[in-house]
Amino acid sequence: MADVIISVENLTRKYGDLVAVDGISFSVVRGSTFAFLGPNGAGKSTTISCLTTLAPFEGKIEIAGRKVGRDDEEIDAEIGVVFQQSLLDPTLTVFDILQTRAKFYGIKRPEARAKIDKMADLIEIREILGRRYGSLSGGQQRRVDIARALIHNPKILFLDEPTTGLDPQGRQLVWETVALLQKELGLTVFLTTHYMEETERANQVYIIDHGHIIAHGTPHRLRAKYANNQLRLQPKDQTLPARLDKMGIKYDVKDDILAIDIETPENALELLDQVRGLISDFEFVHGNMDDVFLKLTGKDLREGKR
Amino acid sequence: MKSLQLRSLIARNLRVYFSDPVGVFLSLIGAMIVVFLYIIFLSNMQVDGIMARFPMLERGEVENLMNTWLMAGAGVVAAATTGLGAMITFVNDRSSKRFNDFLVSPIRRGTLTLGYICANIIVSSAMTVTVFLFGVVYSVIGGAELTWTDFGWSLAALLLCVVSFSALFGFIGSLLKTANSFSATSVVITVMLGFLAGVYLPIGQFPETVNNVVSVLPFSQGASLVRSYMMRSSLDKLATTSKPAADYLKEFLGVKISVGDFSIEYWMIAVILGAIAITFAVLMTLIITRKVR
Repeated sequence: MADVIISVENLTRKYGDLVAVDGISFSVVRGSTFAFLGPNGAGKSTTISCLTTLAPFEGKIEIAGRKVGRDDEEIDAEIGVVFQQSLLDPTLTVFDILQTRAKFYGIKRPEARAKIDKMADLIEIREILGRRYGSLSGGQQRRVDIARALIHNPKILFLDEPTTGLDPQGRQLVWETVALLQKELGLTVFLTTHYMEETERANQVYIIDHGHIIAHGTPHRLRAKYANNQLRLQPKDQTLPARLDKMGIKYDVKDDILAIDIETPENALELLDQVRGLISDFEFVHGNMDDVFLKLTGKDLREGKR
Repeated sequence: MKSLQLRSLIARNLRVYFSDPVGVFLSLIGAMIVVFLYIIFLSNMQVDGIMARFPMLERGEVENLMNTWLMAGAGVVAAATTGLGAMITFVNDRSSKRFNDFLVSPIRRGTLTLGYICANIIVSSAMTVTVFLFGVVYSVIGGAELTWTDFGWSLAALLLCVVSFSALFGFIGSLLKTANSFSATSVVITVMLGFLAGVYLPIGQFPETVNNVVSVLPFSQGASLVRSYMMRSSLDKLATTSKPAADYLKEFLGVKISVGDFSIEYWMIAVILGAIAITFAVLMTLIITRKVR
């Protein structure tokens, strides 16, 4: 059995009549990256709130061998949390914020300074240490949030939609930072996201909708199971649709392009051979997590995007 | 570790509060406004009223008495309003969800509460002492007598009010969820406090039932305790001219208060204020400890 650091059994969380999370179970292996994927309102943040000792719940959660709800203080010492919003003190300087937070974990001033110093280079926040948090850009605030979450060398890093609201460059930087830290510090990373591409780097992906887990597995496995590859053909003239009809191949037409769901690249090559003379262009598209989600929930994940 | 956490929380709360100098300034002005309003509008009226009743008194002595009366009351109002004002840090922390950042740290919720209360007490003490010193200087320059001992005891009584009201309003603040509800509550409480402590009007001008109700509340009690030291010399001086006048004014001005026939002694007030401090600190901890949402 793998080294499990988070184990969740039958987690349920209700707000009055509304069941936000409905009896979900999963476990996270030490040192891995675990992604929770789902549209807004699916129950991702609620799950994180329960895991991070913030919200009451029904069911059982164990983190690093300790029970949430009973050993909260010990658990808090082992986890770092990056919240959905950047919410540190806007009027204080980055250095002050980090130093104060370090003391929450019993880290005294000289040691805290050394920590901040190390973090400053690792997370590239040295030049903003003296600036007020509120005056920073979204991406800079995010990096400070990560530094704050890691100030006490936690074993597990929780990231709740860490890249929402960032520009592509900022998102890239956040992910590079997280990847680097994970390698450097041996962290377990638990993240929620509604960006498909961000789950590709996870070891395990759990897809959640309406409080239920509707699928899980490695990104590769999920794609293989739920996402179709697609071959897109640009016909030279009307003979192509006729030929495909005759061959009994189904296709969708969109902007003159015929799209065919196809299992493997091999199959695609065979088909291409047969219609070679009838097409002016083609494209082979791998199934992605968007397709997985679409297939599982019947809705486009982007609808849930802010 | 606990004390390190507490110290860093207090330092953080103070830093956050004082990082808004305009807010600090307005809060101080809010506390002083009673003093200015009184000096400009009310002082003469009150003195005239007392002179009409006791024509044998010397006008200058009555003026001194009323100055010390007002300054003691202003100090108590300042203690209460600034104790509430400092809770803005907590309300903002919670409405912005910044509070969650503390909750995922290994801090006992009691430590967290104490961090806010202690910061409130420090903020409130600083503001209250400023208002009080201003008041003392104003009264003494005007000619009022105040011995060092009485000055020391009035200050101590005032600080007891600060501690007590910081916990009380810390609790009220912990029930408020947004900055809007907080400012609305502050306005209502600030306006009411001037009356509840018998500062805008002497408690003797209230109808009897109102007088009794107000006397049950800790604000008039705190004021009574502070006045007992602050006004001692002035009252003693008046008593040499007319003992009955001095006795009457003691009750009329709320130096000595009672509910019906039950006289509220100064030691009781000290006990009540202490009990309020402890009770509401515990209640505030319970409110903050609840896992919500």
